[in-house]
Amino acid sequence: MASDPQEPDFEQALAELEKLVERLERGDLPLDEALKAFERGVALTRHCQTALKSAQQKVEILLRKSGGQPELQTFTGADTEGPNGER
Amino acid sequence: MVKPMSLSTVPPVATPPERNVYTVSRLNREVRLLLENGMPVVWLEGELSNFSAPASGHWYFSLKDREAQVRCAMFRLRNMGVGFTPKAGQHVLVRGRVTMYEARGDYQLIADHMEEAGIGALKREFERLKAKLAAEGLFALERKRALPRFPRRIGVITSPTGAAIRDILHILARRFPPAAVIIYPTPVQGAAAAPAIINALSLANARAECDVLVLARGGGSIEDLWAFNDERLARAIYASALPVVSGVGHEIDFTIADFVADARAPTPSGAAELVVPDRNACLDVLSRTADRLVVAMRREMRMFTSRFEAAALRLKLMHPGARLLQQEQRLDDLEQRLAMGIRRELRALTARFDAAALRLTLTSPEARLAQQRRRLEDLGQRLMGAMRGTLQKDHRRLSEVDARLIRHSPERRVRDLCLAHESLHTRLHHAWSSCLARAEHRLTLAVRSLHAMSPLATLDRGFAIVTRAADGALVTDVASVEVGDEIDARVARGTVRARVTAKHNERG
Repeated sequence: MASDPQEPDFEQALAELEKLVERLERGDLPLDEALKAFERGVALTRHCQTALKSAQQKVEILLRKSGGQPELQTFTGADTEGPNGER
Repeated sequence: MVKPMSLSTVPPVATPPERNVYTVSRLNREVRLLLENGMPVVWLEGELSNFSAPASGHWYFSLKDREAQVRCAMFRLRNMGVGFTPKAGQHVLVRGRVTMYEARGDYQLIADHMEEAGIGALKREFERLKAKLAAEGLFALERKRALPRFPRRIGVITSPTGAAIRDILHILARRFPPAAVIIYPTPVQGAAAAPAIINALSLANARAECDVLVLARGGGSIEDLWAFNDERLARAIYASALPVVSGVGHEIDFTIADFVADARAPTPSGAAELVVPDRNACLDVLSRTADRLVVAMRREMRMFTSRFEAAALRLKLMHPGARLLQQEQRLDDLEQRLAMGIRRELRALTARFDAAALRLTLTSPEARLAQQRRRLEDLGQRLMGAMRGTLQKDHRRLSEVDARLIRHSPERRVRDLCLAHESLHTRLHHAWSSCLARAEHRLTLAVRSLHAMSPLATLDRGFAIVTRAADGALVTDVASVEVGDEIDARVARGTVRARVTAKHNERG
């Protein structure tokens, strides 16, 4: 899975943040490292908050172009009932 | 109640030849022959009603649909081969011949085969497959894969047209928009559906671009959803490397796909809610973590300051001035011990002298006394002289030791160390102060940037957060309050309670 800035890895960011907080709370870091950890934590928090607040849903659909390989295309929207009345 | 044909006992009445008058019996017999010869063996599907099984072992029942019904009979020898006990309301498929029960003039079907039809058969097949796959361990809880907490991409296997995909996209956009969605389109109904869904599943797995797959279809009848009870589909879900969440319509309790999926929801919307966390809950977690960061950092700064102070105190205790005092004390001690030793020696010598003198006086005949006294005095003089010499030598030694000790005094070294210490102490102090100032500055900046992100910060700029006093609901729209409602306005440093006295709608 490509790491796309559009799709931040919250799992990883939260895990790192959790680790930073725990290291800081243990209180055995040299001052300079403690400050670095703190600043990294603030940056991560801010990044995640911004990503969560501003994210726009991105939807693609995998379609086969006349005989070729299937390709991802932007999905424009689900109309109501399908041709076969599928739901 | 088909009985052997009995001939009418009533003889035909003589009638004019132009009138062909039938007896009832004859009519029924001829109609029976017409039916038996004219109708082929038929398969008939319908709902069972009026079922009765008297002691004879024969079965009598009606088959009906919405508009009509027909009487049926199934004799004992035939119905012994039916593998279930028919019940009223059951849909069955029977094979038989059409005939006439002449005694009543009812036409009827003599069935020689019966099986469950439609839903009945589907349900039985469902139970059979469910038991089989359960026995093979396809539904085992311990093999169900965990869903990712924050999926980056969600694959949705469903029809691209229809309510299911609309509902799913709606829920995902509302709860967790950072997750991208890829639709793997497939029909979800009809004979082609199961192979197409299996194909989409294997395509999604081969492309491996998603963290989790949702398999969904809106509600429908048991026949509509039958593709999701396909054994091959169940095995494909089981074999999927990506976790699969099923969200297949809710009109029946479960599909086989639900049992084998890693998680199931009763609707497509429910499946969407299962695969993503709620954005607001995430933001809460983040702000709690940010609080912990700030608290931990503040404590860290306090701790470093107090550690520094403790270190400075220890350094002061190790100052060379303090060590000099200790060495001086040691010198005094040595001197004292030396003087004491000499004094002890002198006392011992004096004692020996007195003892000797006493012995001298005790052995004194009068005549030799004067001479001996002179000798004694002479000896005493010499002894005293010798003693004095010894004492002087000891004093000289003491002085020499003293002088050597003074020559080797650590005073100069102590002075040097003092200077070095002062300079180190000053440098340390400068370094710490500027380090602390830099750290505090960085902390302030970081805290400020956190603070700037908080909605409460906007209160300082004159904005207010307005909630309904009655239920605490956030007022974001003029329509959510009524004249007369009490509202709470949260402003900087407190809350104002107010009553709505008028409303003005803004157009735009």
